[in-house]
Amino acid sequence: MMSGGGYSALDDPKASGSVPAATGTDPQAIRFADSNLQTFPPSEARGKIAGAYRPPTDADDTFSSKGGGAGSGGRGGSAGSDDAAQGGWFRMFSVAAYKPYFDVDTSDVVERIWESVFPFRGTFTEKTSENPDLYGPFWTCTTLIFVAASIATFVTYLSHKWHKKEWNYDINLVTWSAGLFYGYVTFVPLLLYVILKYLSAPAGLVQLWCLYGYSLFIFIPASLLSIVPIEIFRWVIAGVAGFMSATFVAVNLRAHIVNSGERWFLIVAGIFLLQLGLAVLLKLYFFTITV
Amino acid sequence: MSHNHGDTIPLHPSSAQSDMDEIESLIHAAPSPATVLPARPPSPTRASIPVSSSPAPSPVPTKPPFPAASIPISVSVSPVPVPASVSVPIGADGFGSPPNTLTEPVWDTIKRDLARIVSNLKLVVFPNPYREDPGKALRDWDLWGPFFFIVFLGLTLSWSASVKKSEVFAVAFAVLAAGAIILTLNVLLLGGHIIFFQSLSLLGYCLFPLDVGALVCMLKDNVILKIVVVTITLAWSSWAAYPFMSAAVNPRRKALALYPVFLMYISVGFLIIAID
Repeated sequence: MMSGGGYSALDDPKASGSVPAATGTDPQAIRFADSNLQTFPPSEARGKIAGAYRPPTDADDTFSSKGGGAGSGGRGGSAGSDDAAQGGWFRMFSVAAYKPYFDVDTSDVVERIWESVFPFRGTFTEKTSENPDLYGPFWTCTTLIFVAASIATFVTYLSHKWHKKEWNYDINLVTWSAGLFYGYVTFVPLLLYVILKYLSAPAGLVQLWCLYGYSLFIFIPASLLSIVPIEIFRWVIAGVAGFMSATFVAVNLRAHIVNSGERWFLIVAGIFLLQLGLAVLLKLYFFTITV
Repeated sequence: MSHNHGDTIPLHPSSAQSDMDEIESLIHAAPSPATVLPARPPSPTRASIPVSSSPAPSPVPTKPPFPAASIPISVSVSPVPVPASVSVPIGADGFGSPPNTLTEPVWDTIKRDLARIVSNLKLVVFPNPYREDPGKALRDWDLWGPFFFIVFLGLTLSWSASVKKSEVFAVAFAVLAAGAIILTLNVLLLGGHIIFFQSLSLLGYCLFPLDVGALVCMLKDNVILKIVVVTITLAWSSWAAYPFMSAAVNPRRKALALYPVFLMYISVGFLIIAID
């Protein structure tokens, strides 16, 4: 009723001036529309923001709890990433730091083993320069340790049986072969790395470990063939395996250091003789019968 | 006037939301006293029943003429049974329900641990539908079983040896313990997804067949029999470890993860055959 009265009161001045009445009505409608538009989006936005913030918090909580529930594996992963980000000497104690050196597939390892059986190609260094691995060196070395110790035990056992003598297992074969092969594969490339760095022809340390590790693969079938109880045959097997292994290392290393200077021949010859020495030592200690 | 109305209209939704929040908070607050209130009536009812039963014959003629006198009588009697009735339900409800294992006999503790080890052993070494999923196969993993199997195998080999007993035990224990750790690290380095100690536990349980083989070989000193027994137990251990290791890594690296496991078991088998 009151609004109706106001309306009738306004009609009189509007009737006298039609133009101001029209302009007066239009702005009111526009403003009303603006006010409506302004009210709806903010409330919706607030609702969305409020709704969106809570689930991520819950998700983070669940992820952290799941990580905790997973145990040391998850923590190890996170610790590895943290250590990698931080850097420093703590990094060497995390598993993640060594993953790049084990980033190989079965086909890669088989290919590299096959490469080591054909020593005259000299392409091993080129093929492994991108991603040298430590899987092959480590497990080749470990396999050789157990195979050598086992074959040596078997050979001496048969020999004692043949001669009707008492035989006792020598557990030191395992420890001695472990010391020999792990020591050789660890320290000889390290020494070579230092020498090459000194001669300003640097090679990657992991790459040298990779090269020497795969070079020992040929000794595994050689050890298996040494079961044959003929002394001359054993010497031939040791010689052939030693020659192939030494040639493999020498050819691949020569390809790397032939451009560096004039002493490359001495280094390659030294490497060759050292590998042959390993073969002779393997023959003498593991496959010599002492009845 | 219209502007004023427009300004007041958007304020209502926010105020309405706040009002709704307050109402919800009140609704949440309301049930707690509501739950407290029903808790009180049960105890008075329990108190009233013995009161009505005990003075039932004597106050019957006196209740109608003196209602005020009967009311204080019931009030004075009710506090006496209330603590007795309250203490019993409290004990039954929650405080006394968790079993106290601190005072149990040692034999019960050992029996429970042995039962867990036996159940884990059955899950690992014998066929079951959860072999592919270590999370289900070995949910309640422990390190006591693996430690026992490693020490048992080391002792068995040591007793079998004629010479250098202590060195035999040292090498066997080192090969088994370090071997399990190295195998687990190998899978982790190949990008596999396993839990470190669960893997150690599972590899330790897989030694059970070789333990049996070593025991048989210690009792019988025949080389041919030894080879047969060790071959069977070696195959059994490898069969037990295979699904766990193969499921942990990328299929392209399955052979890289499985080969070291077989190498360790073959080495242990060879030690069992060779040591006399």
